[in-house]
Amino acid sequence: MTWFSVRRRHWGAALLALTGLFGGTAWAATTEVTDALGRTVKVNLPVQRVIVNFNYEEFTAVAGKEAWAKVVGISRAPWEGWRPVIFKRYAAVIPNLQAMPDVGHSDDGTFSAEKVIALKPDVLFMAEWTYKAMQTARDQIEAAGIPIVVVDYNAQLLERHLASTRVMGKVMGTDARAEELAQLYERQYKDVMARVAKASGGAKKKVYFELGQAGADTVGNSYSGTMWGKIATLLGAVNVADGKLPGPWGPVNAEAVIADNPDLIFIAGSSWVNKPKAVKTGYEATADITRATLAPYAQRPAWAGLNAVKNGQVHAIEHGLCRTLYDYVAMQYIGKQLYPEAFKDVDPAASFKAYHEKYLPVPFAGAWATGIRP
Amino acid sequence: MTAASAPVAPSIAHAYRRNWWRRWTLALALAGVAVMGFLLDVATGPALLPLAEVARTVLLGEGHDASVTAIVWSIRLPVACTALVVGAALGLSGAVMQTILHNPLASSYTLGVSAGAGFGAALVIVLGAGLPWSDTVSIPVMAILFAALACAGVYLIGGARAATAEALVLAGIALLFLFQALTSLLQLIASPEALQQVVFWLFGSLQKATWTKLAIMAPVLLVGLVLLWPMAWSLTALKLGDERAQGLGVPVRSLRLRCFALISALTGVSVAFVGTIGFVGLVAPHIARMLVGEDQRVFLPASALAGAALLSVASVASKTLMPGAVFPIGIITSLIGVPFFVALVLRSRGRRS
Amino acid sequence: MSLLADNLSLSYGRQAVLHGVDLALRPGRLVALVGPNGSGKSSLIKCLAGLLPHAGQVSLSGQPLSAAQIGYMPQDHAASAALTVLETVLLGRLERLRWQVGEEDLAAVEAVLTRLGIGHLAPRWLGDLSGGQRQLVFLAQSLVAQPRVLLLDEPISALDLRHQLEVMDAVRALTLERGLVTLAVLHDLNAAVRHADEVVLLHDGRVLEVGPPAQVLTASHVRRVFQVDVCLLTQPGRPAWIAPVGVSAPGQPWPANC
Repeated sequence: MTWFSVRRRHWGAALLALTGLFGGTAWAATTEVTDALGRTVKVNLPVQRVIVNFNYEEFTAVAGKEAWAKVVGISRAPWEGWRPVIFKRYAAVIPNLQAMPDVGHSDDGTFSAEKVIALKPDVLFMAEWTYKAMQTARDQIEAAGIPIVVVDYNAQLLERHLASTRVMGKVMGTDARAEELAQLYERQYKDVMARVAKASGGAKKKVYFELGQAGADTVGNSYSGTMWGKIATLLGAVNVADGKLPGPWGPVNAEAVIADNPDLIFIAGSSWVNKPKAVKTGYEATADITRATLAPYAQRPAWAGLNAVKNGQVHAIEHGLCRTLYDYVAMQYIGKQLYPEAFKDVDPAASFKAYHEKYLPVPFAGAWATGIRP
Repeated sequence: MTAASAPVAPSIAHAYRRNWWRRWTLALALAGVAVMGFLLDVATGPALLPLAEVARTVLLGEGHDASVTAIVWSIRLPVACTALVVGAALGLSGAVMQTILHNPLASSYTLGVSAGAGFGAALVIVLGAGLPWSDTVSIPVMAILFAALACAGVYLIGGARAATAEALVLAGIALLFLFQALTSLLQLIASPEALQQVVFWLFGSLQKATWTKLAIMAPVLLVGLVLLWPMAWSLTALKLGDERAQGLGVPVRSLRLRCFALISALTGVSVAFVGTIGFVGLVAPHIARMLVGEDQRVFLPASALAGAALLSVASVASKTLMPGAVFPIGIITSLIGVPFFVALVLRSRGRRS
Repeated sequence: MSLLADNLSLSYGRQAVLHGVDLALRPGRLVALVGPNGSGKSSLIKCLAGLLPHAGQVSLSGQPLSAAQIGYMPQDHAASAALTVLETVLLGRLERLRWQVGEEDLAAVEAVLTRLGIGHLAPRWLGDLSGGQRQLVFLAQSLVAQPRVLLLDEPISALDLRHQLEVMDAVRALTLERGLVTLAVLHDLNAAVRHADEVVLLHDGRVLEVGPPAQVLTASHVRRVFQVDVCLLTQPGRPAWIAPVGVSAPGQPWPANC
């Protein structure tokens, strides 16, 4: 070994050390991100400790399964309580999820600023509705030096879907993946809208949505201007519930539904626990099970004369598809029923399967949207 | 030859003074319970901090890291102080209300004051009622505004000139139903998120306490106490009935209306910031009455202390019943209130038979 | 030292209750105010006590009657208050009470309680007393501030005979002792006869007759005002028993003039 090569090795080591030193300080850099509400938030990147309040599947898609190692707390009730089957599947593949500390959630007043602060997170991802509801708590959290990044898939607005996806990617350091997802969503969304534009020109079809949680003998909630109602209007259909609800949601008078004679009926199902008469959809459903639970609705005696029933246009669709990053799947399915010709080559199930394979840690399974006729 | 120059028989005066000090001792005991409640309130919470840590943070002003300081000073201390202040305000206004209305079941709810405040808050939550400020300001402002409107309504309906106890109670009940109906209407048209907020506001919560809000509530309580102080003897005389009090020289109508205004202010401000919390205004005066009797000089402070103690204890209970979660405080106070009243009814039935 | 009421008139809306009532009451005499329901007895007492706005003057020894000179005992409405007897009587000195109860206040209370023979009741709760004891307590309350005028509205209506006697005897004794002007509304004519030095008979808001019981409570007056035929059992100079005719008192012979 010549003196020169030894010197080079030492210099190499020194250079590496210096880079490491500077690189190390550069690592704890304060970056400004813009969240879904347009707020500018300063976050120290990269983050090591994260709390997720809602939109867990979106978080998983954008940040990847490995990102869960950095999660120190979630609001358990909206996932474990509202979508228990989905939670179970994720908990099976994400090691720390089952025992994840609960920071509470705003709907039942259990959201605790104290809990959040005690977990010492580097960032808190909050849903827009939690952000709006918990003013004092969010002031306390921000005062304790914890940045809050708001994500919003509930507004069902393209810009907010994209902004939420991109900001999560930026904060979690998975920018490329987030960009991919954002572009995928935009592409699919615009594709659906283009097909709708091409197909409309005829008389608008009448649709009726109902939450199928309590069983066919109870009239479940319908939606106007929000959730399924917003999608219906977006896709160029006439929502039977419009003008019949005192607020954005609620049960529509059964007579009014019959009087309007909808052309298509969608019953929103899910995998709720302790709801034996509910329409079953989701990972653990099969097309047969879904149809079997849907049948009592199609067989409602008062509905016998409706166009939708006569033409077999009664469908079940997973309620949890609404207001998510994969709601384009629901839009594709509904679009396909509204405009069969324009959506001939669209396969919603395949779309969903592809999404699962690329971005989610759980395999695609089960029945998510299906009609009464096989 | 007048009695004033002769020495007073030691028994009567002596017994009276001894009784007087005994009552203040009992009132002090209530204060002790309130302090205990306060300390427990600061020491408990979902973060499950060790007691030594909390104590050190309070005494030194700073914990061993920023998160502990934030929890103790920005969350727990405001909540604990608010429990005391709101409890005292509710206990005090309940005591005065029961006295001026000659009705042991009177409280802010009976006069529809809290219901009015609730409606004002619901207006902001559901409709974002036209005010340019953020919710943190709008809700209390509208709550106080509608509490004042409720009071004005009771005054006008109850008969501005006559203003007897019965008329005011009936007018209050009418307004209570009116505001509850209007609030239900708002709930019907609310979005799911707004609905949850309204429901939680109606249940009451101390968790939204901040130092700023305390800076508004505490002075109102103090002013209320200062204004009630000189009215103590007149209120005691009022206990014997309107006619007797009038005969003793008490300006009954004016006294009633002044107290009424005071109650509205106390209730309106408390309800505005923590939502509607039931039973404290009803139960605290009864506890005070059982301990110290109805000499208003000691009854009023004792009611305030009983209210503070009650709400403080309820706050601790709401945090410890479900470890890691916070139980709505309005439910806790109701759970305490109902058995208490059953006990009261049974006791009075027993005594009469 | 006389209490003079000059042309007192009172109306509730358009309904006239008292029409130009004139009264002259001398000190040291217990005067009973009697009359049928709705004749305005309570209203008159309240006017004299200054509780109702009225037309006409009320004066004591030429000066307008002030609140400090009046001891007023309204009808007992059994208000329930967790107050002791001592505290209740103490309230009679409301105008003069400071925050801390003074020695002279307690002394005055003790004096009046002892005088009425109920000193031992001082620490008892008001609600635990019998009706008669309550009235004595309220009597003490109206006396503790050393009034010149005592106005009593139906002080014995709810009491049994023994307690009636206790209360009225105390009132009478104190009236004489302190030279008070005492006016008591009494429903029971026999009680008026038994205890009063003078009787004021009120009929439809007007004074029909004033004078000693024998002069006022005659059969013709009673028939005219109360529309009841009565029979009078008289002792020399003083009617002692007024009995409605037609109702037999067992074993009691009707006197000769019935």
